[in-house]
Amino acid sequence: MQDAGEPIPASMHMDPSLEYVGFWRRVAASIIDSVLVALLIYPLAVMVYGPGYFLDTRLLKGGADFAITWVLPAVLVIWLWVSWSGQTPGKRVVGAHIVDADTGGPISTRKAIVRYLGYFVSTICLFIGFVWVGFDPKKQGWHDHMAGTVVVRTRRGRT
Amino acid sequence: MSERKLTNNIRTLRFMSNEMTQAELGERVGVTRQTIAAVESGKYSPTLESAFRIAEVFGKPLEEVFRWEA
Repeated sequence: MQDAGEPIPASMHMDPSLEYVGFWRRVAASIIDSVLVALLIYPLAVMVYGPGYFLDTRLLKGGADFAITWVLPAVLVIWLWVSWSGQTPGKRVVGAHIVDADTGGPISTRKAIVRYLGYFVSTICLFIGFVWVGFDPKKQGWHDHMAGTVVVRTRRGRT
Repeated sequence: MSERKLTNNIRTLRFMSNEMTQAELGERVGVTRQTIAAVESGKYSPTLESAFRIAEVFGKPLEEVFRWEA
């Protein structure tokens, strides 16, 4: 980085505009992430419980099942939100970042945890918390409102 | 010198402040639009005074706008 006082090169004049990321892009991102999570956790679950894992109709098949299918995705996603520019792979594909609605910066671990728990609230209420994104002025789902986050992306093709 | 670098949230803060333009921010801070663009993209380190002025425009403490990242 150049220091204050040095001349500024002419190449630094771009100003890509941002936008709040809407419902369909967010759905696309979450489908990608869901597939990736499934590809990670189900092979692990089958390694532990054998092929019969999918025939067992109980919600939880044991402690390892809980660790693999609930705790592991939660830890992974929260860690990515905090440390990977507010992105999961799905969000990266659609160019979306989760940022702090107050500071515009990366979200804290506390906010990430609240947001993740907010997913359950948004889900349990017939997914209304997610549909909310389509109608909200800042495209915030309930989980975003709970955590104080917004999802933004750089608009392409405009300067 | 360590590998740490100065990053900032100016781009997002401008967007969240009614899509304030670089020119408008520059005017309020007393620097050119080009300087804001360069600071924003992390290629140019602002003077301490400009940094404080930028934070002041957004009504944030300095460390909420600029971060010293590992």
